[in-house]
Amino acid sequence: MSRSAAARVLLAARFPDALPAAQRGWSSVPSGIAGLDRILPSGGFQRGRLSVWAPAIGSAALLRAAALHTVAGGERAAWIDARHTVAGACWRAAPVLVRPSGPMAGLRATEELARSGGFALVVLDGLDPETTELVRLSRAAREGSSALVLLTRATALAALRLVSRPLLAEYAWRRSRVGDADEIRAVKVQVEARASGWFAHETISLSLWRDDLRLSVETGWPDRRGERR
Amino acid sequence: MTFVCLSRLAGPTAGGSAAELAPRLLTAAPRVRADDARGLIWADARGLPARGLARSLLVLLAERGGSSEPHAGIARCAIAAEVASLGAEEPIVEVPAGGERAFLAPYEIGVLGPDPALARLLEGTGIERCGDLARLDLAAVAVRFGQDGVGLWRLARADDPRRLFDPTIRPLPDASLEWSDYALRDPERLLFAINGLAGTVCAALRDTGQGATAFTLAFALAGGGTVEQPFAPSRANASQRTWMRLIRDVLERIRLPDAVTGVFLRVDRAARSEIVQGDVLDRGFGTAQVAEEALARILDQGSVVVTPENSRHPLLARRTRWVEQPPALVWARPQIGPDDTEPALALHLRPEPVPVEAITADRRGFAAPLRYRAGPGGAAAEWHELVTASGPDCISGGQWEEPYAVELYCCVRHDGAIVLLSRDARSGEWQEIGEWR
Repeated sequence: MSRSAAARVLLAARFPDALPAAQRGWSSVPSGIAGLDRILPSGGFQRGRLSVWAPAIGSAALLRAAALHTVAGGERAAWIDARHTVAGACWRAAPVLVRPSGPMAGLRATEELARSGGFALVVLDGLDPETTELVRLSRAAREGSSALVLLTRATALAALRLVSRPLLAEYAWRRSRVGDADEIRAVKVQVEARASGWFAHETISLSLWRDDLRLSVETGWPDRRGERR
Repeated sequence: MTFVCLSRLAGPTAGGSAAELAPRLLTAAPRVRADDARGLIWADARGLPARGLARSLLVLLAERGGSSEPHAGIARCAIAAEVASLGAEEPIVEVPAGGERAFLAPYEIGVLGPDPALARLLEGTGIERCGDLARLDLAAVAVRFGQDGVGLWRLARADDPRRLFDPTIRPLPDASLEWSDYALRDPERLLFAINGLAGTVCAALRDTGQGATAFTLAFALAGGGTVEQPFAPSRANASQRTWMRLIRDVLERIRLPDAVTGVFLRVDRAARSEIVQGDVLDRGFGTAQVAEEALARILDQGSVVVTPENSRHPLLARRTRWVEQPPALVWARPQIGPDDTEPALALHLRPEPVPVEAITADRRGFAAPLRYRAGPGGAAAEWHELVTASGPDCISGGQWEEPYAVELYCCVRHDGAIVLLSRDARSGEWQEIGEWR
C-alpha cells in the first residue's frame, strides 16, 4: 500500500464521518441500500451532479432499487431506456419509464427531465454520450438539482464514478442431484465509488429475478417441448 | 347575469306577438328571447349598461306604433326583473343588485305564478306575500307544501333556476399575418413571424384558462393556394415555448412548394387547464406540475412514457405489451412496499437477439453450451467461456401462427456476467437474447 493510501485509510479510521472538501455541502438522493449509501460521498447520489456507472452486472439492479426507493420516499424517479432493453416482466411501474425513439431523443429526454426539477433521480441507460453532450447533461442536472446517473463508460465531467465487479467465487448456487451447479441463486458484486478525494468500496449481495413462467406452456396449445431433438 | 324583462307589449291597436317583436330588438340587444305564453320579451344585458339598453328597447317598441305602453324591469335575477316589469308604475324599474329578495318581499304570492291548488293552500295558511314565504325555512316548507312549495319558496327568495340564455361559446383564438411587398423563403424569418402569432394566440388561450390540444399553421403561398400543417401537442397547453418547439421541428422537415406571403395560426381544439389538488405532505406534489410539463415536452420530441402490461406468454419477448402513458402519470403516487426496493438482478433483453456460435457438449440428451462467441462469421469475436449453463427450459408453441420451439439456458460466464442463451430446437441456431444486470 502506498503512503497516501495508507494515510487515507488511517484518516478514514480516525475520522469516519469526515468528507473531502469537494464533497461537502451536497444534498443527496439515498439509494436505500445501506452498503451502497455507505460508500457514496454524501450518503446517496448527489443532487445537481452527474454520476456515471460503468455498465456491468449489478449496476442496473442497484440503480433500479434506488429509483424505487426514491419513489417510495415520495419523490420522483425516471428511467430512460434508450435501447429498449427493459423486460416488462421484471419492471415495477413506479419510476417513470421513458422509451425514446432514438439516441438523440434519449439525450433530449434526459436533459429535459434532469433540468425540470421534477425528478429527484434520473437514470439514462443504453447511451454513451460525447463530451459535449455530457456538458449539457451535467448543466441540466445542476439547474434542476436532479441526481443524474448515466449507465455508460464515458466518465468525463462525472462528479462520481462507480464500477461494479462480479465476485464470481462468491456466487451462490443451487446444486442439482447429480452434483452440477444447477441454478444460480445470488451474486456478489464489489462496488467501487470514486470522486474527488474519495474512494470507497463495498461488497453487495444481489438476488436474481427468476421467470415464473419459464416452463409454462402457451395457453391453448399442446406441449411439444423437446420436439426434434 | 343581468336581465331586462319587457312586458305589456300588446295594446288595443298594436299588432304582433312577442315572437314577432323580438327580432326588431336584436338591433339593440345581443340576445333576445320571446315568451309568447306570458307576453314577455327577455333581453340579455350582461356586460352592457342595462338602463340604457332598456330605454333603447322601449324606443324600438314605441316605433312600431299602437297604444300599448311597454314596461321594462331590470334585475340580476329573472323573477325580480319579471315582477319589476309587470308590477311597477314607472316604465323602467331597476332592482339594485343584491336587493332582489327585499324587492320581491312586499308583492303578493300571485306574482310568482303558483299552481292554483298551492295558491289556495298558501292562502289558507295565511301566507300572502313573498316576504312571508321567504322567511320560512326549507324544511318547514318542504313538509307543509311539498316540492312545488319548495320551488315557489326559492322564487320568493329571488333564487330563480331558469336558464333563459345559454352560455356563450367563445370562439377559439387565431391570428394571421400577411405581407404583399415580398415573399419569404428564409425559415428563420418565417419563424420570427410565427413566433409573434403564437404569442398572441397563447395569450388569448391563457386568458380563458384553456390550452390547445390541436392547432393548425397555414402558409399562404406566393403562387396562390395554402399549405396547412396540423399539430397535436401531447397535452392541452398554451405555452408559446412548447408551440414554437413543435413548429420548429416541423419547419426543419417540411418542404413548401413556393415562397410564403402569409401565415395563419388557429386553434382547432382546446381543453380547460386543470388544477389538481394534492396532499401538502406529499414531497413530490410541489414538483408534479413541472414534471408533467417536462414529460409533455419529451413526448413531443419523440419519446414515449410506458408501463408494461404482461400476459402469461412463455416467451419473454412476446409477453409484454407496452402501454403509452400520458404526462399526467406523474400525479399518481405509487404504493411501494419495503420488499419492492430490495435490489435484484433483472433480465434485460437485447433489442434484437444476437446470433452466436456455441460449442456444446451433450448433457442428458441436450446440447448444453460450453462457450460461445458472437457470430456467425464472428471469427474475430472473443470466446466467452461458460462456468455453468443451467437448463434447458424447453418452450414451444404458436403452431398456427408463428411456430417456435426453443431451449433456454441461463449461463454464467467466466467474467461473472449472466446471460440468457437460446437454441432454436428446429434449426439448431444459437442466440444471446438477454443479460441479467
